Amino acid sequence: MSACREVSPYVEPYVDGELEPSQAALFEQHLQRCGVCQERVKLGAALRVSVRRSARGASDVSAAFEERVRAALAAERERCEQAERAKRGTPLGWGTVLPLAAAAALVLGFGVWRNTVNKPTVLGASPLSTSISESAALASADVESQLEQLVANHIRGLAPQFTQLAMVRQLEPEVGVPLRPPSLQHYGAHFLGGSMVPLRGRQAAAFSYGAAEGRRLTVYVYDAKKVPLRTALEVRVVQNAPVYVGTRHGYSIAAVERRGVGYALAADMDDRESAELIVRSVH
Amino acid sequence: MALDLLANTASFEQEAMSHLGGLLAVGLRLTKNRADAEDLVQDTCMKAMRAREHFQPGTNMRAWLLRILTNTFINRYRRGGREKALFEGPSADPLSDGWVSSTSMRSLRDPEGVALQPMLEAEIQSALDALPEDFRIVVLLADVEEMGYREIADVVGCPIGTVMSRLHRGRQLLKARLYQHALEMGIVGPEAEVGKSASAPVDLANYRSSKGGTR
Repeated sequence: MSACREVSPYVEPYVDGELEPSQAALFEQHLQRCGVCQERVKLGAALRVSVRRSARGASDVSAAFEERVRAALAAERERCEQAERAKRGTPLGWGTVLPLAAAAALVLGFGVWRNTVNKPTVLGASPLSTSISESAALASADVESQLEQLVANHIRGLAPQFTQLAMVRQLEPEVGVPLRPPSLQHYGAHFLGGSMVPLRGRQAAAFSYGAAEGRRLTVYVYDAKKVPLRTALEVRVVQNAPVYVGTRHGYSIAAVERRGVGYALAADMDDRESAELIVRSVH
Repeated sequence: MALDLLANTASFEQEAMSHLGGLLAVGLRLTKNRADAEDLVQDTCMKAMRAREHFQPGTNMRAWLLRILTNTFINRYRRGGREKALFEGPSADPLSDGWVSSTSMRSLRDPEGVALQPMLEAEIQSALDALPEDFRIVVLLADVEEMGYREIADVVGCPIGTVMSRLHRGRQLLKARLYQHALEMGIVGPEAEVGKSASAPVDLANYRSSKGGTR
């Protein structure tokens, strides 16, 4: 009759998985006979789950906060690197520069297609002059460097891996989102071809378009949940839709998100113009 | 070597950033306000960054970051143990869960209540926020960070027995609050024992008679 009183100190440790196997076995013997203690255990377990959910669920991180932490971490990284350099006594030894340069060349080298004359030195410069922090930025997959990378890809032009729109669907598994190349016909631009580019450890599809006067436009389609490009851009509202806009190296980049799919337009045009173009092109 | 370090730093940073939401959720429950929670999370990330050589790649970074977060909170943000005297002490009655019937216990966790879940979740959040800090910390460590009693004792810096009693009292208070809420919502019906606070000892004989001596 007093069994419940005797085992009651075991209820919580049992739910928490803290009982010795022998204690747990004894307690389970009691549980089999006692509906009330069964309910205690179930309620205890449900409470645990609810508490866990309450502290794991609501966690909306504002873009401003994310940016603040990112900046703090970058500053800390920079500080560490400076301390490291000071410790070495030399600005940068060759033992460091060479592997870094090799890595920088690797990072810059993928899928490059230099068919157009477009300002080849804007971003690349000479790999040997690449400072340690620039290399770190390239090696790091942070959003800003990804943006730079996308603009760099646009400037260089990518070797088209496909030119038929029918091919596009087959690439969806690699990007992980539906691939619908926006039509820029209303702007007088026509589809030239597309390719896959690495973006934050994933793939993004890059669609190239040609327009009048030899102008080129690139639209990147990517998984917006995995690649929050918007966090490095400024938000504007165009036709009641948020557009994320910025300028890098004289090129504008404008991104919209639709149902978790990101569309980022990189082009040599005014940022207002590119914001409107991408909003009107993606529906 | 230097390149490895940089690459590691970059991927470390990236992974740490991916836990921001999870850290903030726990930080919000610990500090009870967004500004403090954000400061706490930022401090945590900075400390983690400085201590990143101590992190073993491939192990659970979330757990590691949460440990830093909790330690930081305990060391810096706590206002001291002024609530201890009020709430601590041996648990008066081991059967105090008996203040509600098994029907009520069932209703509190019943799938029927699923429709009310968002509301209950909000209620749990405010019930957690209302807990004295010492209790809140151990409940969060046990239920959210899924630490064992020994680990909690190490983090909080008190004996295991104290951890267990705080955990017990904390959960009692949560249940009492939820029961009260459920009662107001009409999810559970009133019963003989209702009206007593969770910490009020339950008269065992009375409880048994109301249960019809089923045990």
